[in-house]
Amino acid sequence: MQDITDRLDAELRTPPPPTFDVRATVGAGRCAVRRQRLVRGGAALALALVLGGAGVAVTSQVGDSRGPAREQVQVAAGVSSAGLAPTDNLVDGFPAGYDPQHDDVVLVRDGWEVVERIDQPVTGLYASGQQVAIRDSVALDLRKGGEVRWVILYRMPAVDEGNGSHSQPGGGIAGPDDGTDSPDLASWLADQKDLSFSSKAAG
Amino acid sequence: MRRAEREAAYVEFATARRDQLRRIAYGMCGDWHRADDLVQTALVRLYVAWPRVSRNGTEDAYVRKILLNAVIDESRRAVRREVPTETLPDLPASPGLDPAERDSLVAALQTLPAQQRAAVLLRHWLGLPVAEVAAELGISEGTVKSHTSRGLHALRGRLEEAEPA
Repeated sequence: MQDITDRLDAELRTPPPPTFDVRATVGAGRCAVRRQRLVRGGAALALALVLGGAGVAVTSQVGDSRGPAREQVQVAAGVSSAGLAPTDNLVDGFPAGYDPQHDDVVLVRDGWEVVERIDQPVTGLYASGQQVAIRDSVALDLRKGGEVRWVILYRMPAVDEGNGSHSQPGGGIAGPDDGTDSPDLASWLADQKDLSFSSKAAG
Repeated sequence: MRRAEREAAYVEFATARRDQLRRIAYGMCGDWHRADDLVQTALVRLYVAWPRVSRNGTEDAYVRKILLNAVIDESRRAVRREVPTETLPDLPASPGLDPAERDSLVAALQTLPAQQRAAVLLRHWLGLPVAEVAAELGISEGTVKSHTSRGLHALRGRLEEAEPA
């Protein structure tokens, strides 16, 4: 065995000069983090417009919200289903999203089971680039067959547009990515809090 | 930790580990240019996960794991790129190494399946314990032992073939 180790050592001992600078990976890494935030934030950005109290909802995330739950969301033992409602109308890749028509309701795509739920994980923090603190948030560990999705959903306070309408800005992050070695929702959430949220408003 | 401090810590770590990572990648793929590409890919992923892995003190294991996964994924993609054909090309008489590479152990490593290659490198070049190799490759300790045993046996065979009669 020693002969193999020695020969490997000899052959690997003197590499040619590297073809890249480590500092270049910082730039590429920053771009990767930005892309991650844009994709995740953009995909889930929900904007609910309530026009003159008529309750018309326009959102990138929910095509046609169905209102109050007709059945229960599937949850694991010990997980609260309060405020969760099933839907088959989420139009992007997220398995869950805020209901634009019903405050405090989180819609969960049909077929997904909520196995862990962390309430208000980023409430009071600021999403990247935002100047308004998050008012409401939830993190969910969702399973469907062998598929695992972790999501963080957050909303800022409603903004009065001044013409009888209100907007409800917010966003979401989904994971895990390929190559992520976070063992669970809590560890991934801690990572995302470092990467995508701040205790200070954007300057 | 502020971003500037985080990035300084990342750069210090990546600079200190770059050559070792390049050697691992070269051992896995047998080509220095590909090795550099794979290490850059691994370092960019490390940057993204840096806050968590540095907090946990798992930087070395994490970056090695993503580097090895990148190499193994790449070799799997290469296999998937193969297309079926009814007409097989002529094969060389011996599937052994090119005569110019017969004395190269790294070239001989390339003839092993990717996980065997990784197990031999981590266990017998880096000297990692079986349990650590198992964790980094996501396989059981028993599989690590069988991979390294088979890998070493195959390498010895290659070396004996290459020795002048």
